[in-house]
Amino acid sequence: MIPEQPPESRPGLTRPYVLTGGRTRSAADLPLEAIVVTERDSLAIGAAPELRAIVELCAAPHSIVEIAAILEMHLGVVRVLVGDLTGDGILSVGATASTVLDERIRVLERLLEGVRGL
Amino acid sequence: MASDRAPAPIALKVVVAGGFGVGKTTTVGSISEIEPLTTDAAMTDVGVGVDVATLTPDKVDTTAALDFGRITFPDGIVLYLFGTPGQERFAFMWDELARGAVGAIVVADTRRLADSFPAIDFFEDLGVPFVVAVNCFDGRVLHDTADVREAVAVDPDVPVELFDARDRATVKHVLAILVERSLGLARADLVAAASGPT
Repeated sequence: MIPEQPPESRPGLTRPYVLTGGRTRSAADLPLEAIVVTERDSLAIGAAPELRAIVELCAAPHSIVEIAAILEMHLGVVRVLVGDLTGDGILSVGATASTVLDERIRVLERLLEGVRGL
Repeated sequence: MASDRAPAPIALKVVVAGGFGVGKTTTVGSISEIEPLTTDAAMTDVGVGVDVATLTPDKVDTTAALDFGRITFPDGIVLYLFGTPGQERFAFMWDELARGAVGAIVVADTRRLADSFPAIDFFEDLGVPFVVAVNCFDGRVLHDTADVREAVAVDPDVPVELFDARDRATVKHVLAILVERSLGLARADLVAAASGPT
């Protein structure tokens, strides 16, 4: 039975929940602000449109929270799907704040310089 | 594809907290390079670090609109600014937002200072660096910072600043004060770690 959903509809909420198998947490535990980049578009032909949309959006870097806002998908779903695609090597995820103190200090120094230069 | 691409930037975040209608979204919008975006965060989406099951089992319909803006710096750092939902029933989101944050700007209105207490308590308890930024609507200053400091009872080294949420320059100033504060605390932690018992 083909779902009665117009093909041009935006990635919605119901199908992604099906896609994630009901999972709402990703093993990768991705922070909201983590920036995602597409490394190689090697999605299988016929891959779900939600996956395709993420891979296409992240041809330019976008954070987890931006992906959710722009594609109108739930944050939890985005995390799960990005986690899967990262595991497949299709996406990569950039660094967030380090818990290692001297790394944190170096990044904060760069940030402070940046803020002062705004 | 694109093996010559630069690595993804380092992403940092700042939380903008405070009572309802105090100017959080305005603060974010004043300094963001993009028109602030909004996403609905369902409770189960943001439950990392929280026992989701004890909150609302099998329920995902409690959502809060999460506003955020972005600043891209030239040297590979991107800063996200998150406006927290002000209502206390959305406090479940704060753990997630605070985790790894550079720090928090607690926006306060002198006419309703008590509205900022939950945010101040939260960031104090978690040890998240924060500044109290008093939003001077229409240029009115009803108190000076010493009065505000006494009223909110923060540590003497917590910055208390007057600003105008609509004025980019003053928002930038508050942001710089916050990053300085965060950096100062991180350096102090490093010194303490180096000199402490091993």
